[in-house]
Amino acid sequence: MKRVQYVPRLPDENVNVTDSSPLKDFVILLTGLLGIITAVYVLLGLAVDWAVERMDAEMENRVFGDFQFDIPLEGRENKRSAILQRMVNDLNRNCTRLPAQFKVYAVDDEMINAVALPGGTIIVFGGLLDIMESENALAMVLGHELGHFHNRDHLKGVGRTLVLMVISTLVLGPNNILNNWMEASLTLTQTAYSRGQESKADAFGLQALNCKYGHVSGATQFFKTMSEKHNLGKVEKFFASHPADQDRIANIKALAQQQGFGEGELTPLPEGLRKKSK
Amino acid sequence: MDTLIMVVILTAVGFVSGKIAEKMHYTSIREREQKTLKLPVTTTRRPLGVGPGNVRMELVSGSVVISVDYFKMMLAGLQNIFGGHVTAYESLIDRARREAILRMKEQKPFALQIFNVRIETTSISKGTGSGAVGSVEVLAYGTALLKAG
Repeated sequence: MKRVQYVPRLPDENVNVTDSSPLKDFVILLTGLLGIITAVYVLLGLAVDWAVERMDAEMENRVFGDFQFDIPLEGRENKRSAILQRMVNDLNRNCTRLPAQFKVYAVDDEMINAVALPGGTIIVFGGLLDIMESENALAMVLGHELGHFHNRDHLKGVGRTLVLMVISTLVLGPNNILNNWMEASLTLTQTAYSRGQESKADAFGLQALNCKYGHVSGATQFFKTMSEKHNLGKVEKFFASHPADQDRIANIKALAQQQGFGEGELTPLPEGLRKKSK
Repeated sequence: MDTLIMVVILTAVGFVSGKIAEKMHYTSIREREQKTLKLPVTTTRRPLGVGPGNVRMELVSGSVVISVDYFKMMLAGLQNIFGGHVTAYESLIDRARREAILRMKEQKPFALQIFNVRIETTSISKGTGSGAVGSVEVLAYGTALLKAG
């Protein structure tokens, strides 16, 4: 019988490790994944816009009726909320006439912003109230938010948010790292409406303002104050989601001229909403 | 946003440190494989070419635990989505396997041969929740044939 001989020798090449560049693979796969996600997001986003445009108030109530934003209010927030609630009710009853009930919250927060949420919730932050110089300016902001409801921008925003959450959960599973940062970045980007949506809401607010006071003085005060503040570099964050305030001022003025809205006397801000003197 | 920055940093750190660690490990593996080349390691159930004689047998084993780095984990995650070879883990398993055999050989460097060698792989420390880093344990064991006395 012939003996098998053992020849000590190392293999020439390693067949068990694929000769590929991990960094290249990583970049290709990541780009592909992001591309697919973007494509699906855009398509589903368009589908959401399409569906929302065709959703009437009754349907909205059925879908979003359970959306409860139970925001705890403290101290003067209650009083301020009540004043704002009266203003919005009054504005909607006499001017905008949207077939919905709105719930207004004044939240003491430095944020200079107001948001429209599904189910008819409007949140106005203290920072915004503090820079209001007249009731007219405030009515313009409230009218602007009502404009978002009228144009269903708030539903589009939520729809897109849901779409993105569903995609990231499907692709990456719940509670994964990528999903977490997506959620975080989502809340930042989705609060911003498109420029077209903003100017439509501005136009709506302007109509409401003219209807309520008979003139549109104070309509641009908010944006003027904001652009002045912006020059001081204090509120970059706000401007990230509301760009080109100068353009908006110009648009509002042009629209007022076109519609023949005049100027008039400003109504002072209700006592309870004024900034506390230091 | 913070989470995103953390992920990017961890991935970059994982890429650099993982690459350095792998390079050093492969250098060491190749060196030691050359050094222990004379000691035959086989999977046969009986020793090769040895008749009854003045020998004894002993169980030898070598095991190693190697952790995946963050970059490899992210790459594997992407490859999991698209399918195909998970090349991210190939070098990891390869290193672990060769290291385990080397450690087994180094346990009895003067053995005549090690036969009936088996290799087992276990994934350990899977962790819970997101971001848990996995490691792989590879255990190589066999029967060392040594000169008696």
